Amino acid sequence: MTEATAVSDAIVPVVGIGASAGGLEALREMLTPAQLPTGLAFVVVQHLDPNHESMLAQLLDRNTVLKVLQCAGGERIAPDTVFIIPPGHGLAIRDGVLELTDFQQPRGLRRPIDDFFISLASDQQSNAACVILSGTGADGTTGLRAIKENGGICVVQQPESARYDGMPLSAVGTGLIDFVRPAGEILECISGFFRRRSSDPVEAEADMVADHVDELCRVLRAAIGHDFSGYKRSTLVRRVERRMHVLGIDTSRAYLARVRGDADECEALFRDLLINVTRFFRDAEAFETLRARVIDPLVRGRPADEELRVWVPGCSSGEEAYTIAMLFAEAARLANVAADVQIFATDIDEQMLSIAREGSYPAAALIDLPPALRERYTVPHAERFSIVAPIRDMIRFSSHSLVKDPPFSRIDLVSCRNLLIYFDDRLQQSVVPLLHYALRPGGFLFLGPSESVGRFEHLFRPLDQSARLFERTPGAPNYPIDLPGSGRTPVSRREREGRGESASLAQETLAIRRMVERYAPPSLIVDQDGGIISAHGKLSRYFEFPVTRTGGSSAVNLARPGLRTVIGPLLRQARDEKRRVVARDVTIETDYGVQPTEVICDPLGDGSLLFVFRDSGPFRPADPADLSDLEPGDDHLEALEDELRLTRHRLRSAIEELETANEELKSSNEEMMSMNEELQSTNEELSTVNDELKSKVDQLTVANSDLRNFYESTELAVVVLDADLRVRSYTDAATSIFPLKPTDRGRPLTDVASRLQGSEHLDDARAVAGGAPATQRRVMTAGGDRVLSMRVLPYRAQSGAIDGTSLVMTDITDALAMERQLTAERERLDLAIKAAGIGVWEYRPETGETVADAVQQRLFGLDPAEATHIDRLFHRIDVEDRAAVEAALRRAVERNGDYETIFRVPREDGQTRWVKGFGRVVAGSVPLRLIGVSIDVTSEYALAETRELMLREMNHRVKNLFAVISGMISLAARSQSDVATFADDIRRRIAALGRAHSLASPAGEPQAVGLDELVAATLAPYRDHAAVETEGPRVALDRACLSSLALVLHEWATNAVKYGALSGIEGGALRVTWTADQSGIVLIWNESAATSPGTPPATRGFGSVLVETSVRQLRGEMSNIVTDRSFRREMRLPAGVIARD
Amino acid sequence: MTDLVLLVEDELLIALDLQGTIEDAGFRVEGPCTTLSEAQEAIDRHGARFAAALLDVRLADDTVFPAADRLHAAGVPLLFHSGHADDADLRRRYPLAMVCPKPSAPDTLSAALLRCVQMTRVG
Repeated sequence: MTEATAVSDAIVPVVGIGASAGGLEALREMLTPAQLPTGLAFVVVQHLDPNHESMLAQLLDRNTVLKVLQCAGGERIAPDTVFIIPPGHGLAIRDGVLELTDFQQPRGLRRPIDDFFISLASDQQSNAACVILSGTGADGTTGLRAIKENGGICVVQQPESARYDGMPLSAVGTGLIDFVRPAGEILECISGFFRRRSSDPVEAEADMVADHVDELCRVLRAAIGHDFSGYKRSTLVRRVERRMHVLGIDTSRAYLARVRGDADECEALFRDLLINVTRFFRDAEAFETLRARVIDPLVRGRPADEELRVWVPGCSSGEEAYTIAMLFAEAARLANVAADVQIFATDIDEQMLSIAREGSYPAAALIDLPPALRERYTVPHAERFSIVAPIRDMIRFSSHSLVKDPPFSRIDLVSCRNLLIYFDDRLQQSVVPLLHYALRPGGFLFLGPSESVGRFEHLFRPLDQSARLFERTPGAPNYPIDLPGSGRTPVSRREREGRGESASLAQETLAIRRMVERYAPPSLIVDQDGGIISAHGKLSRYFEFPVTRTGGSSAVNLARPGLRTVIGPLLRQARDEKRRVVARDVTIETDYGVQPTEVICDPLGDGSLLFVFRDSGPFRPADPADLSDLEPGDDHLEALEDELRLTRHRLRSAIEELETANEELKSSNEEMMSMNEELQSTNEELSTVNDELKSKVDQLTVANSDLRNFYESTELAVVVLDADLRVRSYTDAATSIFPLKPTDRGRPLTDVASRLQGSEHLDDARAVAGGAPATQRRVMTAGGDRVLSMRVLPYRAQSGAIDGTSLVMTDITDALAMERQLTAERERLDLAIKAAGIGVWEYRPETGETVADAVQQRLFGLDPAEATHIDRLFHRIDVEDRAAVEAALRRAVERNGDYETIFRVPREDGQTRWVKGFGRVVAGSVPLRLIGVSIDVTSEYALAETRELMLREMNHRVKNLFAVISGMISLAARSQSDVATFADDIRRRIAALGRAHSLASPAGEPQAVGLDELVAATLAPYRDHAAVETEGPRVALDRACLSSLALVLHEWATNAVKYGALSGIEGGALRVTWTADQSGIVLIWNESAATSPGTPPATRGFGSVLVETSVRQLRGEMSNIVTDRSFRREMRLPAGVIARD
Repeated sequence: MTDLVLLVEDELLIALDLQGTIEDAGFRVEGPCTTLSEAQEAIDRHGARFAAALLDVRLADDTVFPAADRLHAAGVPLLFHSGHADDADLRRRYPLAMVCPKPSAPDTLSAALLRCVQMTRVG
């Protein structure tokens, strides 16, 4: 099957690529150099979070010319295509078709890379390649063993160049890697390998290799000391070919030369040939059977002082040996006995043995161990674990070849798993008896799942067929004649000495053997088909022993002519009849003559037959003449029998080969299935890392989308530059200042036109990128019609280092205009408030806090520190008004309304200041605020007060005047009878009073009236009557005196008009003079005339009463001096009449 | 029982008129007093025994109230004759006093004076 598949699919080798953490980068590096056609198919297996869509396919597609597909299952492998594992599934390949698999293990324990490699190895055989790239853990390490085992090629990314070197280091640690290369060179390396191979005519080369295999085995045997000639031919050829491709050697002859001359290559080939897969508890069920059927009974049934001996040939890196050791230890612990167990673990690979002796394994392998054993017998370290010392002490690892070295003996259990499958039929047949020899009677043999004891059912009785567990049949140990592959006498001193227990028996055996070899006739034991089981004595006269063993070991085939015709029928007859049969007079033809012989065939009972040869006559030398005498009588029969034998033989080996191949395949499959487990623990770590990364990617996607939306929608003009001032990104709004296009990303900003005046922004950006602090400046557009505020900020990378700058531009043209407008308005308002002397305040009812400006503070007479609480302000308000103000404020707060009140504030100088306050609750303010103003209204208030006073005064005065007039009328009425005169007098008096009154300020100002004015007003009607002269200082009169004084002067003037100087008398003159000092006023009224004036009436008229009363009213005194030609009146008025200003 | 009426009025012209009116009503006049001190002296002189008192409220030096208080205490009926003092104030201070606004007709005054005196006598 392998050959057929390989030929048909040889065109498209499949490269499995395992990657994990850091894998994307490595994959890019690896696949970017690909050039079509590569002729290869690629399958990428990664550790993916099952809950997330993977973007790997899209990401890779950009970097390579290869076609990149995410697998959906069912794809047939195609060249120049990269298939990528989908999340949530494993990947397998069957007959060149990719299949999705479901994970058996929980997350964290999955190892998809190993799974796929194993599937790839079995499906594509040598047509497979595996690549292990960056990643943590050890996934892929087990898988690559499978690839190698099947002849594939393994390439690993150079650990130093991998971002995470866990997986590469683990792979390299196996020693099975063909190439270690940086990611960029891997592809070329693989292409080269497959190119070389496909250019070889496969079959011809294979033949040629097969031709040289024997020679190679010889060279290896000479160099290494191990003989591989007994190994399966196909395996040998495959692995040798592989080495040749790896080295780029075309012909097997050249390779042979290389192996001859190059010890390292010998070693490499040796190692390649020994590749096998092993692990703890491989086939757990089989081990369970082993424990129940073998180990427990052995431990319980053995006397304490007797040693238990176990042999593990082909132990490789020791897992199997440790598994068995643990089972024994556990059984002893549970049975509570101290079992003395000695385990011999042997292999021919020293490198593997050293790994085994160390007893330290990757932590991933822990999963294979049952939890109870894991806890008890392992000590975990970070990435690895080691086996506890008591277990290690049970095992003795040694270099020993099952094929060439003498076997151990008296063994209770031989565990020889998955070793026989590498041996060809003949070697297997010789090894099984060896194991039979090594085991003590009743001992056990434990084989791999696809191995069997072959024909030796008589040596081993199956104990459990499915677990491949056998029990040695009783009987003396039959030491094989020659150790197959051994070049010397199979005598092992150690073995002999180890067998000291029955010396006499050994001597007896030796004696019998010696007797048989030297003294008995030559004899031969064959099986029922004529196959030689053992030979004794000198048989070369009867048989031809060819140099190679390839001719088979059939007694019929080997028999010399003459004997050959006899031996077949003899065998059949004896076998069928189960009796001794003798053939007499058999003439055996040798190269030198003929020998008459008697042949006896004796069935031995156990299925084998004994041939004994006895010469019945002397040897006759050959006569050349006889050559022509050859009788062809039996030719036909002979030929038929020959053919029958040959056919049977071929049939048998064909069946066996097929069975073996089938078993081998089954075992591989089982191995692969179970290998998953190892991968899981590694996957756990990776999954965790991956989860984190995934969630980070999610966040980034959201953030990115936010950012993109922001960039597209913001009004803010933002340009992000890198350290070299190249445009990294920008917002749409920025295109109005820098006409950027998407293609401008990456261009230096210096190359981009800008609509700004000057280039300070570039200098700023350069400075900030160089480490200067963020700057802000105003820049103008080229037209000067817009003003921008530009902030240049450092762009900080995640690490905090400055990696460029961000330019943020805001159009502040409108804002600036508004600012100017606001400033002007505010200035105007301030000016108005200042000019009006308005105090501005704010009040928070909740806390009682207040804010008062300077004017307000001055109005209340508080200093700034005091004007912070309403209580202080209240305290300054006049006690009488305080309650009203508080109530008004409270009302305003409660009703959310306005506040208006007038109150007094006592000033420091003792005066009172009247203040009017207005306020309003700021709508919707929380906490509630009242804002208001205070105005000083003292002057207005004073004015109103004065006016009221004045009105009252005027009212009083008018009423008083009415009273005076009415009194005057009443008094006049008592003395006058003539109504006309009475009315005339009264009218004149009232007119005089009116004139005097008009002197007083009509507005009622407390303005003094001058005496001169009063005199002039009183005398005004008479100025034309005579010479009137007035003289005196200006004296201001108290207004209260005005009416009385006016009446006095009026009466005097009336008198003068009637009887005196003003009556039209000749030379009449009136002189009124006055003086004023501290004591008062002295007024002199002097009338003179040329002639003596008329005599005034003797009776005292009402005028006199009026004058007297008025003078009394003024508290003055009056005197009259009458001379011949003059009439002099003098009036002294007290100081009270003079107005006090 | 006396028929003496105390007249306090700082405006002499009015005082003379009032004096006439009082005398016409059949009383004698003490005064007219033009100042508070004069009024006090007159009260002292007569031991506050008056049939009634006709008082102007505002005098040159002061208000008439100190004198009015004494008279009120002595049970002299008071008749105020004022141009400016408001009624309410007077009525509060002297609930029983009568008030005639200035100027008043002589009839009104004499009628008021008589009623004053009678009220006292009846009371």
